[in-house]
Amino acid sequence: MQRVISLCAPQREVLALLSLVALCGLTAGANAQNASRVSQPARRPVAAHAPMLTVAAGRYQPLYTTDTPVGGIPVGTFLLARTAVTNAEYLRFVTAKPQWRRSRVDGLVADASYLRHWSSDLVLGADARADAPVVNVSWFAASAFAAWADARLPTMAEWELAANRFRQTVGPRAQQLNTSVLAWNGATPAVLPVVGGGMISDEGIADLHGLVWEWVDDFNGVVASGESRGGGGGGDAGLFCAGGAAFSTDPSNYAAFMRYALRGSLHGSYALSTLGFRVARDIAPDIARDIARDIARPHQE
Amino acid sequence: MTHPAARFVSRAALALALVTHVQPASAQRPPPRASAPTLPRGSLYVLDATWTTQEGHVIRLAELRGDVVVLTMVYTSCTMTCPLLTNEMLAVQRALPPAIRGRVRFVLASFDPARDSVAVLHAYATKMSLDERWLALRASAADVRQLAVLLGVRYRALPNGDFEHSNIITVLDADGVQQFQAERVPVDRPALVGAVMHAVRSDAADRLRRK
Repeated sequence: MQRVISLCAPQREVLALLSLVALCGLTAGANAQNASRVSQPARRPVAAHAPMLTVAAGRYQPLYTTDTPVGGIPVGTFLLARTAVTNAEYLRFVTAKPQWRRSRVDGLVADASYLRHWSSDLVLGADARADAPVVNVSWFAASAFAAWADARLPTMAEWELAANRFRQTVGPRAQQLNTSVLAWNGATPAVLPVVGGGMISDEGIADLHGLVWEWVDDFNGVVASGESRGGGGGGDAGLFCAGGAAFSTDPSNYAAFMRYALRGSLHGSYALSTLGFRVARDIAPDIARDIARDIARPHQE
Repeated sequence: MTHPAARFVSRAALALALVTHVQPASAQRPPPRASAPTLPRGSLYVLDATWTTQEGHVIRLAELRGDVVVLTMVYTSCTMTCPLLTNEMLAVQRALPPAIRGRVRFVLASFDPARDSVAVLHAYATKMSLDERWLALRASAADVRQLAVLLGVRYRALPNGDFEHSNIITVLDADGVQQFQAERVPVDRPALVGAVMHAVRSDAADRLRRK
């Protein structure tokens, strides 16, 4: 059943509100069942970053409905960081790459809020815990970090695939999860908590929900305008070519809808206090084949 | 998916090239002005990505510096609004006084490097009667994504190979700084033509001041 939801053309204040609503104090719930997938060793030595965990191939059902292949979009196996990039990790990056320091960055690639929670170019300060997720970073900055770390940003499909791997999102627990998301009733912490303390997915990935929003490589792949009316064509034909994907507002996945709404409102230079990122890597083809074989075997449960 | 190494190079190159003044490499371009200043803030020409034209030449966008640029993103097998975008830009070109026309370039950047090869771009330019002021460009998927994000262009590959995308036409001044965007079709043609003329005249005034 589709519900018509109309969003006004987003202002920064609306963005902030959207981002606050979906962040609540979700306590770590699910236990990672098979979280012991072996991390892919780095191809060359890098400063310590979050371990990279395997997200197994699957099919992802996006929220837009009119052109999705039957069964969903296929997503290949890939590696995703267990936790979001932290302030400490990002500090190592700007130490190595001065052009990405707050006082030097080009306004084209990062807006005036860039790293505003830090004390200065190279000092985190009291409002930025070393192991908390770095925020106030633009898409360009996140992409540059990923390249420096010999990695990349996950795609939207990859991120959503990983974020839906929670056993508790089916059945009665699903309602509890969504109620928690909708029942946000307090301010986001003035100082973000350290990474890793939130919900852990079935594959061991932490904090995909409830900590910060996260950049994806193709965030600007959300093409429909903010006014997404249900049924027949969800966009202004003059604004978009082939724009016809209608958004289905599945009430049981309100958080996902909000992520889409946020992505559709972002520009690459934006730095938001509730928007961070984590990195991904491609997996070696032979390992991907092994994993595909594992997936194809009947489950033992 | 683009080879990770290529994506890293382009991303790292962007990070490294932020304040780099890129010199034109093509022999066909006039030599840079002796007193050319550094790029102003907001110039897209900090991008170090390389693009291949319909003639097979490899360029950086910074080589367009000195001309006003009218730019959009399309793909050649599009049958919907992409032809409209190209035709709007052709109409703008025709509406410009001859003296101004020589100071403006028209650029089509493809969403679809997989299918828009140099040969396909060349055939498209011929079919649409695009003259020597026009460039049809292809680059890696990562560089396409980066340019689109810089321009505020949204796009998504569809399962059938088409692309859903914004209908944005951008005017860059002679230093590559965005001055105007038409966000929809049909275009407000007087506004778009006016923006191009203004950018050309501003550049002429700047040159006089620098002399």
